[in-house]
Amino acid sequence: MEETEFDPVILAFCCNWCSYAGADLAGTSRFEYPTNVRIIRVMCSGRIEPTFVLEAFKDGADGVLITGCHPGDCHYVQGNYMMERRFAFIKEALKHLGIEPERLRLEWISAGEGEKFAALIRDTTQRIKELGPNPLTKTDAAIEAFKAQRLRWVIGIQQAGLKVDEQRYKAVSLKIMKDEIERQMIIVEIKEKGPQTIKELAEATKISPKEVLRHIIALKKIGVVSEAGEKEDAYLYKVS
Amino acid sequence: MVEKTVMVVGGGISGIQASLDLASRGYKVYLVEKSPSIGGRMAQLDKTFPTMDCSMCILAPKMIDCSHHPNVQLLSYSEVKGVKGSAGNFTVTVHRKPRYVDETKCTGCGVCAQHCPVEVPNEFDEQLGTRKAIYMPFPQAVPRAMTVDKVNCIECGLCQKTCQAGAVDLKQQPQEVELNVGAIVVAIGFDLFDPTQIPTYGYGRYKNVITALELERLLCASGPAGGHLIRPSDGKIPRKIAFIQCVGSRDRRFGTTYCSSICCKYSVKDAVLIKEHEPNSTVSIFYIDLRAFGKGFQEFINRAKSEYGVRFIRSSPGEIMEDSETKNLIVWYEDTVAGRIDNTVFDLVVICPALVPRTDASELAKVLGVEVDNYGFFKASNILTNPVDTTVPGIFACGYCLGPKTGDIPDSIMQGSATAARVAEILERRV
Amino acid sequence: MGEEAPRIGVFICHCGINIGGVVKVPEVVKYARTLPNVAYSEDNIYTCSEAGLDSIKEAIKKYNLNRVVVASCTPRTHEPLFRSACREAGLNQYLFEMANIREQCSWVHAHQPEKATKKAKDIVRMAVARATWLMPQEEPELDIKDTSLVIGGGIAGMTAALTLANQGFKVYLVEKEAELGGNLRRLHKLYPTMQDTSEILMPTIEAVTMNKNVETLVSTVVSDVHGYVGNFKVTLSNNGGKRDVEVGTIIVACGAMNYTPPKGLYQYGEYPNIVTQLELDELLRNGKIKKPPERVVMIQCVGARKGEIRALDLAGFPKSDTARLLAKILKAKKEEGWPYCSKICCMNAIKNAILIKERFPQTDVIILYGDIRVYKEYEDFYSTARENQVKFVKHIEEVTPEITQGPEGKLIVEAYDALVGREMKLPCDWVVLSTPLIPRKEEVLLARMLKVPISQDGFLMEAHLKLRPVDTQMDGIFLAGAASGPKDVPESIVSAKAAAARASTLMANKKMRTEALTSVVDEKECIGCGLCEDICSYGAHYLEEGKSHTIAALCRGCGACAAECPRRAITMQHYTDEQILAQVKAALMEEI
Repeated sequence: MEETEFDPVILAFCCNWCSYAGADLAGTSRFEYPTNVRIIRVMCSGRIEPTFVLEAFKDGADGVLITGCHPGDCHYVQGNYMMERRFAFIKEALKHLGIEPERLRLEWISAGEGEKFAALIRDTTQRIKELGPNPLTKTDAAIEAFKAQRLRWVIGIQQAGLKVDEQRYKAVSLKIMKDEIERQMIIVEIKEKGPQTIKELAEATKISPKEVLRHIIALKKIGVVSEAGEKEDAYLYKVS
Repeated sequence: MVEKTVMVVGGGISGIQASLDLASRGYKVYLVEKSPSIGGRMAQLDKTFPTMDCSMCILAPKMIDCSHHPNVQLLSYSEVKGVKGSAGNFTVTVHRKPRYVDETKCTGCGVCAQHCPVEVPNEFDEQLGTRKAIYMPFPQAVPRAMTVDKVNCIECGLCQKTCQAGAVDLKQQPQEVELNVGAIVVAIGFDLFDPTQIPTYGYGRYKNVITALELERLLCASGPAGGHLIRPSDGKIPRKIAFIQCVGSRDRRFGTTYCSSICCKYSVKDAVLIKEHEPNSTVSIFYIDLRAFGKGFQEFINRAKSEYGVRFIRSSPGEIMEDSETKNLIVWYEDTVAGRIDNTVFDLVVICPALVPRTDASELAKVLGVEVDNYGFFKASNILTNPVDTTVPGIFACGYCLGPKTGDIPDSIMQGSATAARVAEILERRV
Repeated sequence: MGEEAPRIGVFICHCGINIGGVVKVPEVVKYARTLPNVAYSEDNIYTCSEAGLDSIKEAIKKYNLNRVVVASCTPRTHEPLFRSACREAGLNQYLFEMANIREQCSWVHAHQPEKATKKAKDIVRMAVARATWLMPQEEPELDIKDTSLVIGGGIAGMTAALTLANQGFKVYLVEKEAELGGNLRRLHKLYPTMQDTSEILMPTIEAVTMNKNVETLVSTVVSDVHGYVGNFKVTLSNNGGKRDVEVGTIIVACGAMNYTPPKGLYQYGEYPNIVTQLELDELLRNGKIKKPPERVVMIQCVGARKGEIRALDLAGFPKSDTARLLAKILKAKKEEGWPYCSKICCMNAIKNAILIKERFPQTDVIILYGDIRVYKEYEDFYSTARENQVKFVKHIEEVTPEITQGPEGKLIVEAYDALVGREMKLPCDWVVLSTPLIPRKEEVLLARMLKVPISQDGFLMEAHLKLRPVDTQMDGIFLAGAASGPKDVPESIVSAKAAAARASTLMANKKMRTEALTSVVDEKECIGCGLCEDICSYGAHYLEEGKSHTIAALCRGCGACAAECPRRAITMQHYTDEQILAQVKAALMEEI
């Protein structure tokens, strides 16, 4: 089979007022850049949910670029700040999924920065080429985690203005995210392969048995999993 | 008879704001602009102080609103030649210069310019960049149409041959139109004082002495240097830059005695922009008084000093000399605070000239019959109570053609809106 | 997706050779026909031309299209044009989508025609996928009442009220004090004409009182505000009585007040004859200074441009003084005050200096300054002052002047002369402190009621510092006068007229179309957590009976609430999850 050069596909979310206009200016000025990017226009970078990014990786995007207005310039006052706070969570989530966090990038581009936009696409394309194709690990778990109320609420309270100490918030919120993703991984694993023991789940998901146990207990408490028989001196767990 | 039609002369930010407010009010607006595109000075700027917004980014939507508004008729590349009548019923003669391109057909695609063989300096870039004989002054021009500069055109016809839309018409004729309006708003803006009048500063003789507007074009991402600051003599990156304030302002010998109001502000902005581009550069501002009043400005200066290390030297330099080999500049000055005379070598010297009335302002004033003050700016009928009325009822003025005032963009916009209110007061027949 | 299946028409533009010269347009047209839900596809040389627009309208009718995709330039230029064409053909304009294959394809990939063609196909596929999910939208029309509320009866408030009344609008002019006039009542003369303030104030107050369109309510404050542009419901309070009014627009002209230094700052309040410029105005107006003073010292920037000790380049100073200077600076505590420059104090001081010289020609007047910020034509005023022997001395502000009591009832001002380079001791009879204009406390309450934010310097914040200086982020609410920052009389008048112009435009049109793209809450899913209410910058969500609701008139369509809602109960119209995810999927699928 012939060796073809890896031509990545990069999805770029651009906000209507700043970065999309910057991309247009790159066009008007005829600044050339590689053909690897596909642009999706939104009104504000604040519209972009973590699930959009994760779905993109699930569908095979090799890189995702989020662009918005410079801090202080957002047309809707603080949409870009909200995106910035969400971004930290998505990056962490990628680490849990075995996707290189460098595949996701956030940059501020104003409507007058045509050359900067072109340079950004060139640079991003090069970086993604060096990273290689999307490892296509399972992102379903993370997608479900970011759809669920618990994690969304925790991210949301930061947007509304923290009432708790910043350091503490960071520690707590990242732990919640990790837990939710791991729990969804367990659920996905059971749904795909049928009821399993804690040892089997630990091997399949690469989560430590101690943690799997903790998650199973929590999931049992809210009625999501329950016992389904025994195997080798351990319970099998099914999704209720 | 009271016509619910208004003419706005001048398509800079002040004229654009007045036009938009008047048009939204339901009046028909003729927006007359001398150059091929509206936008004025603000289109030439890189960033605006102190918010550091990209100037074109915030201007372009307003320009597009103006062109799309059903009540605004844009008469670009046109001039006012005669006015008769009085408030409520003026007859204005407008001379429409031929651009040799059919505005209704041209899509602004730019293919003609790519083919045109003639290259000349670009006025929009203050002669630093180039354009073709068939050109659009800047990419975001409104109307989005090309113009032929017949002075430099060699009539080779290649533009006409390569235009897919059939929009080039090299035989186009000028037109004179007569328009009936109820009120007139003047918003023609300003010119820069010509620094060659102060020979000791060397502007015009030394290539690396430039005006602040030339610096703006160099700093602008869509300007001739693509936003990478280089100096005109050899394209080197300047590392030591000086700003000289009050050139032709507050001056009894050359120029004018008034303060132009915005130069201290924009020079600090430019200094910060340069430091952001090149953190290793040294930027020094020579000033007499640091007139940075206004919202957010003192705080901006504090940041310029503490965060960016911009140096402020209280001095009006005496003389600038050039090193003929390196083309560097030697600035001689008396530091009035330290109490000594000194000289420093700089790679680039930026002159902040006075902002003066346009050369065509006095002619327009005569045509309109309005008075100008002793500086040549349009005179307000009462500086305290009627700041945007001229001395002729029914004719109003806004923006820098009224004189410095606070001089900055929000001020020009407020004046534009204020003239719209005054026009409404007249056309609604209340006062 | 609506009652009927989508039938999408795809129009691909050559744009002369701008697109056609790089992208193989006929190939893209052929490809578009193979996409799901595409009922028709054609190419045009210039889709934006009359011919192109007619072609779209005809195709809509002939092929029964219920969605249209135009693949050409950026939507930022021609989207309104194509939307009009759809409207004219009877199709809701929000069932239209553009694919940007010029600025974001042919123009940036001019030397890669093969790849550019593939990319153009991808972009068209994405637009078709999104179009499949588009729904018709309506722009709600709001009625705008032709009555306005002006808060504040100073020169700005009165000017705004008159400008509106002169155009036939009814105005409620609300003033918290018992008389109209504001700060001008306390001032003596105005620069640069040196007119008495009463010459400006009296005619204006009379005009307001006589104008039958203005209802003046003194000793009245605004205690509550509900509603939105065109339909504000305002509660006015007056000595215990309340009254509700309904207005279409609001102009905030609550002004600013002069900073009175706390006791002890520059020894204010400790020794007699240390006054602010405003107090000096009152003394001059009432003729209270009888004996010609020998010397008056004015100190600029008292409580202004403070809040931090600015960096000082000591290297330039004569060596002998440096050590003493340093000690003094280090000893000086950070002077309390406001960080901004109040703009008008230099002129004000010069005006009062000239007045003193006119009345008492023998008096020595010295102004201690850091920078003299006299702008525009007022430069001549500054020259006049110097010609009248007013002395201007630049001092080092970091070395806070000290004032002590000297013999024979004199005050002694000690400061450091920056230009001569040494300390000076000035015996004088009066010390006048130039203090800034600062925001009023009431303004914070107003800001909260009106949902107008406050800038860093404490004044009310305009929608955009450069481009929208009299608008606020709330439609229908405008700012006039010193409420948004220090201004002199002509500037206040200009801003008041500008605010009136903006307000009158809204009211004259009687109706206003608001954003079609608003959020919608699914009450079944909503648990009333209130996050949407907290994060919305426009106050467009409110909770009632444990459920969130959108006020469509206030929603700007940014989508932040939809992205944050923990229950995913909020849909952002025209940018729904399905529409965006359809584009994501379409972008990444292999070419069919």
